[in-house]
Amino acid sequence: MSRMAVLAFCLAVPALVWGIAQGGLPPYLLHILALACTYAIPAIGLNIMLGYAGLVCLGHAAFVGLGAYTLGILAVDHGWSFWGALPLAAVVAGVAGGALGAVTLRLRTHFFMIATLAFGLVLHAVMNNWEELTRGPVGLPGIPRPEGFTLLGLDFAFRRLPDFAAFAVGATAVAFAISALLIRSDFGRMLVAIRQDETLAAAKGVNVTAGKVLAFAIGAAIAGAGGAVKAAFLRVSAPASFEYLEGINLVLIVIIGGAGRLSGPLLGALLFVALPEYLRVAAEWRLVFFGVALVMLMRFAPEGLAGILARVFRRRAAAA
Amino acid sequence: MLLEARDLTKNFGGVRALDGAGFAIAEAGIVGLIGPNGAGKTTLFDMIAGRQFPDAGRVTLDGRDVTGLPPERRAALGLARTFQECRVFPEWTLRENLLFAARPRSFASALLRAFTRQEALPGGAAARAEELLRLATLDAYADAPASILSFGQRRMLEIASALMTRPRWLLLDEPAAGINPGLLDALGRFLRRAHADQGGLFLIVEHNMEFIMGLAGRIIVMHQGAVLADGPPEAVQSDEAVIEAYLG
Repeated sequence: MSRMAVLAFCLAVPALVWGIAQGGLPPYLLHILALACTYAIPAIGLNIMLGYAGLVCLGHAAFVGLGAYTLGILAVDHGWSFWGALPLAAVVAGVAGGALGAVTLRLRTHFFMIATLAFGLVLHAVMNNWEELTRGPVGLPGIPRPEGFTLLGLDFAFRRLPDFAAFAVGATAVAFAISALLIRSDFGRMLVAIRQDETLAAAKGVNVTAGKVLAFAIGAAIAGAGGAVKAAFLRVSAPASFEYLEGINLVLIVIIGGAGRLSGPLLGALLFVALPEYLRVAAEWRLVFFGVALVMLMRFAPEGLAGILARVFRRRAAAA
Repeated sequence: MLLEARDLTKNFGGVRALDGAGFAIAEAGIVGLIGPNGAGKTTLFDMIAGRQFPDAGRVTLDGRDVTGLPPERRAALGLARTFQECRVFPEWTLRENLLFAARPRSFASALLRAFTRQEALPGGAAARAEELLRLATLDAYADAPASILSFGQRRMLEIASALMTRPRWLLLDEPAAGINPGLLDALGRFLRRAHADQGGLFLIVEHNMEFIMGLAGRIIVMHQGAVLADGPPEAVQSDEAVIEAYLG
């Protein structure tokens, strides 16, 4: 990453967050923006697993759910603040991800995918049925928005929709920055080496198992943090938000946006949430639309939206 | 002892692939490992590299027992290998392929460095990569992805990448296979020059007799899962048992 890009990121994100918080945007737009962020953060985590380490996880919604329920249970039943529960939401999901990785990674290709799908189904069943802990199918209501605080003489508040949307964008930017730093490091290089050729990576001294388990733990931890943001946005943590279809949606978001590209999950999540709203298509048609889009993309542009954009920019730069 | 394989035995179902095969190599040099198809060369080779593990027997590197060690741990000791099917990282440029070989391997320190943005590439790695690209006559493609290379060029890149870390043990699995005969001389020169430059042991499994006899100072012949003959190329070529095994 060039110094310029880092500088631009560090200036643009606070400006964007401040601009959103100042209001002016219609509530409907803010709502869509915040919702897109609750998909973008878990998708950033999934991109580390799927896009960089090459591990297709179909149960990613379960990690989002673990984060959401960690926040819900701690905040509603035990009076924790959002800020105290957020790191724990990431840790709980991360530990679950590492554990799932450790037991399933000896499986290959479709066997591995089925195992991750089963994990998602099992966790969804637990959310639905462990009524003492999760309140069952109706979910855990009354999750508070993050508490306001004062830092360096500036007041931060999150209760109003513009403030929360600004917070969600900021949180997405932080998740993006973490994934960018990881991917541009030797850690990211080792993951990409594993995806390209496991046997060769091992011969070059890469501990393939450790790399995959770490990719799973980190991807799940980011998803858990995203789950906490989602629960704070919806004010409720209910099993329906974390069923296996949501896990498939996250895979679609990453692939359509551009797997293995840093901006892929952001573009995918924006499109996934905003486009059906714009087209006024009923929610049930969303999967049909994305199924068709997926087939088209795989056929004509397997590198996803981010890949298409990168190609356009390169051609522009070459022409200029 | 630089490398020792002792009494290696391996069964696949009812087939005995290795039947007490063993040899010892005390000195640095280029050693050829030959034998008819099914002699057990690849199985033996994979056991030294850590891709397969023996039912019985031991492999030692510098006297250290590595029989059960996975490939990445052997790489950390200074062992590098190439593959019969030729493996490079196709999405990366040639330079990235070479530099990756020189980068540190600890996930813990890689995660820490990710957030401090420290460069971990050892000093001299970049110069070494340029030198190897030139020796392998690949410098014109340094910034092209490895996927565009021809098979022969890919083979040169694979060997160059294995040489990046100046391995103490370099295992080459049929480097001449699939190479245009006109390029064999260049490949031989490249390997001889690399060995003269860095020393260590080059252990080469090979089917091309002319190529290996001109390159290796010592030839180990395998037959039916065991070592049949072991000595300088001239002695091995006139050995009755070896001629029998190849013709019979």
